[in-house]
Amino acid sequence: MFGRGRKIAPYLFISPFFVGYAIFFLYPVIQSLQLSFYRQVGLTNAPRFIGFDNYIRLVSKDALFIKALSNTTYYALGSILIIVPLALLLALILHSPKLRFREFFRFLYFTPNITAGVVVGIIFGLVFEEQYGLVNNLLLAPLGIDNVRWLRDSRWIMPAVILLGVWKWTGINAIYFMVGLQNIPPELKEAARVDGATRPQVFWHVTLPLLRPILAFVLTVAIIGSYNLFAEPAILVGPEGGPNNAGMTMTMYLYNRGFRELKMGYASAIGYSLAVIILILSVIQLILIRAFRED
Amino acid sequence: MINRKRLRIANHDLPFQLALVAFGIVTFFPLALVVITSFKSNTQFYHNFWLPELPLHLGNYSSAFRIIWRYIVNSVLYSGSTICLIAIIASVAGYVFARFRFPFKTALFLGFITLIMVPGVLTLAPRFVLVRDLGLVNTPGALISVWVSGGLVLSTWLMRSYFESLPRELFDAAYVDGAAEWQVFIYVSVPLARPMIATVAMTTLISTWNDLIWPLVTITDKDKMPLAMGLMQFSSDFETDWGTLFAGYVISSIPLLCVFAVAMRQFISGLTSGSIKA
Repeated sequence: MFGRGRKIAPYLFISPFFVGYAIFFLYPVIQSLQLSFYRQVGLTNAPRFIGFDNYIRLVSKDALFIKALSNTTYYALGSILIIVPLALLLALILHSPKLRFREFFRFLYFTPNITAGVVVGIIFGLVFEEQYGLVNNLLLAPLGIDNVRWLRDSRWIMPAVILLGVWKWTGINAIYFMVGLQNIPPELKEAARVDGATRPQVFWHVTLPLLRPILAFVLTVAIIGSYNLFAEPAILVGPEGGPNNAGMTMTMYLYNRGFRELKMGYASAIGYSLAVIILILSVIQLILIRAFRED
Repeated sequence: MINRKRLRIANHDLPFQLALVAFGIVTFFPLALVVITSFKSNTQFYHNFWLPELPLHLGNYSSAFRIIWRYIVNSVLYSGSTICLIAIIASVAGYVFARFRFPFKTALFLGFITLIMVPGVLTLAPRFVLVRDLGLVNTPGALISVWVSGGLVLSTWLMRSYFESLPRELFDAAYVDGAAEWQVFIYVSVPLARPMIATVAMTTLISTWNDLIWPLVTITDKDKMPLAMGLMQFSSDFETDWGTLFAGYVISSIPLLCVFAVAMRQFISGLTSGSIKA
């Protein structure tokens, strides 16, 4: 373009990206690491350096943190174990060539995903209502099962939240898998069929291994999403997670400590613990998927 | 013989089709319930929880609309500005990352991308302190600045991979004709990247439109709330008036439903060519 400008120009053009990223993304990430070593209560008080005290308190003295951690892990495991196979099954059906109204079904399954969290929370409040609710009345009563106190019994709150998660996330994941299925060349499956492989064999040895990148993507997004769960349980059972805090997720706990009690330092320590957990789980998941390939 | 074969295939697909329908009903029923309830008075609602009942109370919609329209307008403004800013910044940055050669390019790019794993809540507290120090609390700036910077990473990544996938010859022709770099960008690259810009716009739309926790932290004025948060306010204001409450929910869902009914195919094709293939 104009000699010297040509060298600076690229940096100039990425500068808006870089500046926005640095100020509102990178800076808070670093700042929160620092803040997690301080004790800061309220918005104007001076922070006091306390080293690893926040972290030590989290793991050794804070029963509610451990509770939130185990609740969230329960949700992550439960929802992923249901959602992934179900979404895969749904994708296989949606992918079948003779299907009618494919577009319609695809849109239908996508709708829960674009419904606001508050609305989903209120709807499922009715779905799980004890006396008149959909599940107790239409599904369990005909089977002769007594009313389950979904949202008032600490044993049943998380299963209810998991069912909500299944409802909300299965469709979009089915769409991801479907995109993956579309990228598999049909010749590969045909070749396997010609060689005498049965349908299930083709699925296990051809289709599934080729879906691995999508599976990795779906699992990563699901893990991050699970540990960020906030709006739905907060609306469904209240900010404290209902009886015995059974519905309290880690994000709700962070929000309560940081923004209802204004303990910013402690909240940052929760945030970093959360990030480390997500990172570890994502890495384990990627290693497992890779191991699956060797086999 | 042929007939029998066709019959077998038809039978083979029937259970699948039925499974789809069954799953569709389970998916749709809770949403249909919102629509059904939105036409009821409280008496009708308590009398019969699940089924529609006459007469329809259309008045629910006008009283809900009087409150909810403001939140919708706010959300359109906030999400709209976020989408425009992201589309511009991400396509320029993605273009530069894809087509220019300059020192530290790969290092810079990888540096940005690794942080994509960082969950948003991690930085909730310091982000709030930052936004407060900038005097942005309770202004649209608080939402837009953070949404833009949060969405930029994925969007720039998507735009970069799209520009990289375009054949070099498309650009060479323009250079031969004597076009300047900015002309190539505006008249060649942007029109070609329209599908990916649409996908970026839609992923940004979903994530900002339904974000609850960040507005909850930064916005306090009722008439500045975006829809996701306004719905919470609305829910507590109309707690006991189920018809109006659910009419508000229906109205609030219409904008996103329309966008995705029209652009679903676009959204999926963008996903196919971008993010999850990589």
